[in-house]
Amino acid sequence: MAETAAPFLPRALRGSPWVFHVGTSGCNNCDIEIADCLTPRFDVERFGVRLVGSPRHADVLLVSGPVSLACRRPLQETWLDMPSPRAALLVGACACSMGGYRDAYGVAGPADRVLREVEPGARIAYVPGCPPKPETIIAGLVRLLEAP
Amino acid sequence: MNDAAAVGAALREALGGRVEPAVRSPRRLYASLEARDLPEAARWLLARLPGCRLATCTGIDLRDGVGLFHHFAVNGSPLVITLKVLLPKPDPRAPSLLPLTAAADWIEREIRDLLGVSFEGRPAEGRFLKPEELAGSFPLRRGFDPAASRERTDG
Amino acid sequence: MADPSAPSVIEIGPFHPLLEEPVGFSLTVEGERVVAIEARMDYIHKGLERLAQERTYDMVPILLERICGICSVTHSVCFCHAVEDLLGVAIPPRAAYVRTILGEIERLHSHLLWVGLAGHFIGYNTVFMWAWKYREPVCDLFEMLTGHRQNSAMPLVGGVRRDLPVEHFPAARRILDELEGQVERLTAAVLDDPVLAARLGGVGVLTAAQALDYGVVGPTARASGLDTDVRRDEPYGAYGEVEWKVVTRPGGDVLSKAVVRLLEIPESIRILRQCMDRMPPGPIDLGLLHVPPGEGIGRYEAPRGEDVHYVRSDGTNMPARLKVRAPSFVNIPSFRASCLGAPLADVMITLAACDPCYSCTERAVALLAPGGGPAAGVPGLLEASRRRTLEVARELGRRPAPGPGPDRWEG
Repeated sequence: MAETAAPFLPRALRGSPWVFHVGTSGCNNCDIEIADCLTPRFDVERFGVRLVGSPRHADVLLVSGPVSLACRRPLQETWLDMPSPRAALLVGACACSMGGYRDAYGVAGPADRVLREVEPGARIAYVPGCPPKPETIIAGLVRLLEAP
Repeated sequence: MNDAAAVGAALREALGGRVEPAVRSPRRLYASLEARDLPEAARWLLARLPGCRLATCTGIDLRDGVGLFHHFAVNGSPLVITLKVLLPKPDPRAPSLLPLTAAADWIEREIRDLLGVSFEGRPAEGRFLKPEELAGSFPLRRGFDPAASRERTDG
Repeated sequence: MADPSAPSVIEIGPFHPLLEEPVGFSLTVEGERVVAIEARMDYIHKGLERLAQERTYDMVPILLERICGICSVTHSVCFCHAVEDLLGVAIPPRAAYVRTILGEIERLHSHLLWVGLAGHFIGYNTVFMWAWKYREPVCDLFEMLTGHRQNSAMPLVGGVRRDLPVEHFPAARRILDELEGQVERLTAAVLDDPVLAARLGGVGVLTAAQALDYGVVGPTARASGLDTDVRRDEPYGAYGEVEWKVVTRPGGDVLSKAVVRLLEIPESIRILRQCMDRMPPGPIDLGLLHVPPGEGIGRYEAPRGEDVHYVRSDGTNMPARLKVRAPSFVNIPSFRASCLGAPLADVMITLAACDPCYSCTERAVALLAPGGGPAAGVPGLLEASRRRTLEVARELGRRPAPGPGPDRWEG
């Protein structure tokens, strides 16, 4: 490719994306692998990635788990609380496609559909796996940040 | 008294023959009884077997009624005692074990939410683990159609 | 103007930056004291029991691994125990050893995870980082033996699906040797720390009588002096054949719960070493093809305590009813006894002390704010908890929580 469009995030934000993590009724395995990314072996903080306590401070929303009926609204409101430009990283098979819970009565749908109900053009990246290894999550985040 | 047969015989005697014990193995005792005798049997187990606690309760929608199986475990022993009661449909009611043991609190609320069993003798409480969208329906009942909520996901 | 003496309500959840799962707690406080506490568990409710009734006996253990990411071996093996109880069969000895090895590795990484989180909640982030650093090789060990960091897909009704790669045992032993020294230093550092003893001692006490009344299980019960452990009470796997001991403490406070978990880690390492030494030869599976009508109850000692599964079969290839009672479902409600009357700053660590696993509780529960907004209460509580640690440290005339840089026990 001779020419690529500029990544969607301004350069300053790409250098140190702040993430807010939402577990939407997953089995917590993905949540633990996400937390693993922050601990000494992987330590994504050295790249400027910070887990923040409020969506209002975040550039990227990490979502793990199939979205349960009760989590649907809170997830959408959390997304709308984030300042633009914003992006979502769906971590794990459940967030991407509901995984093994596809046929359960208590799930509202995969996270991308739930987010697109409130913002049809939402920027979403997928990291499949059950759970994805920390290396995969980091690779997914990098791809998301570099995508145009 | 760590043997299922001995506990079964003693329980039957304590309740004047109003329980029907069935011993499947030395570690597993199943005892059928009427719902009104449930608190008395539970009180006897909790008082007479040291370390006895309410482990959980299974609710099942059976063809001829709603089955409520209270499982009691005994600390330090392999024994699990199951008290089985059958509640008539369509409005299953059972006495609450909350006055006897605090463990019954969440266990009974779960069954109330998912199977629609009313537990008599406990304070009114709000929704616990069933989301708003399922208010009025009981996912563990036979008539519940999981496919109805699946349509949402196949869109 | 609101009456300043009236009780105020603090909503916690459902999205919490570190607890990772959505669950709603509502605390009513008068000044600094907690007077009422209520929980909402629907955020994680997915309907797994019903789903399991639409899966065959071969598929169910794979599904049940997804109840909880930490207790994946627990739930799948516990289901197998229930069906094996129904059938009245005993699995081949080699399969029993394989299950025991998987279960103990799981206990190791679960306990290390808890130690880290507990440190985080009281402002000892150094403990958090060290514990999770030591946990990584344990996940590597699981991956080396099963091909996956947490979900092995190995338990099967009547045995296990695959054998363990014996050629990796020497490497596994090296990981355990290294871990043993690390955990020893971590335990010594935690137990010798006067600030931790002052901060956690006497906090969130659950007496033995309350523990029995709430029916709590596992380390939560053992820290209240109840001598209960399914591995010894109803021996399964290899537990009847290897040497180990049940760790109990009489205190009932948060410190006792931490001590019980820390001391269980070396016991797990002991069990693992003996299992690898004595792995018997033979088949790993009974090759069961049919489950007749009947009912069975399975029990299993998860890292958090006794797990109970009830299975009812109607003779088809899918269970007619599967009931899952995870240990957290009986451990969490005990917060009513241990949190009431406690200062607000102690709530976070008291809740965390029973190692709550919300996924298990509603076969899938988590922390989001009622009404949807992110919880303002959680960071506040965390902050209060950490402030309290600093106060305790100052009262003792000590340097507050360890700062960044290499820790003293690592030289």
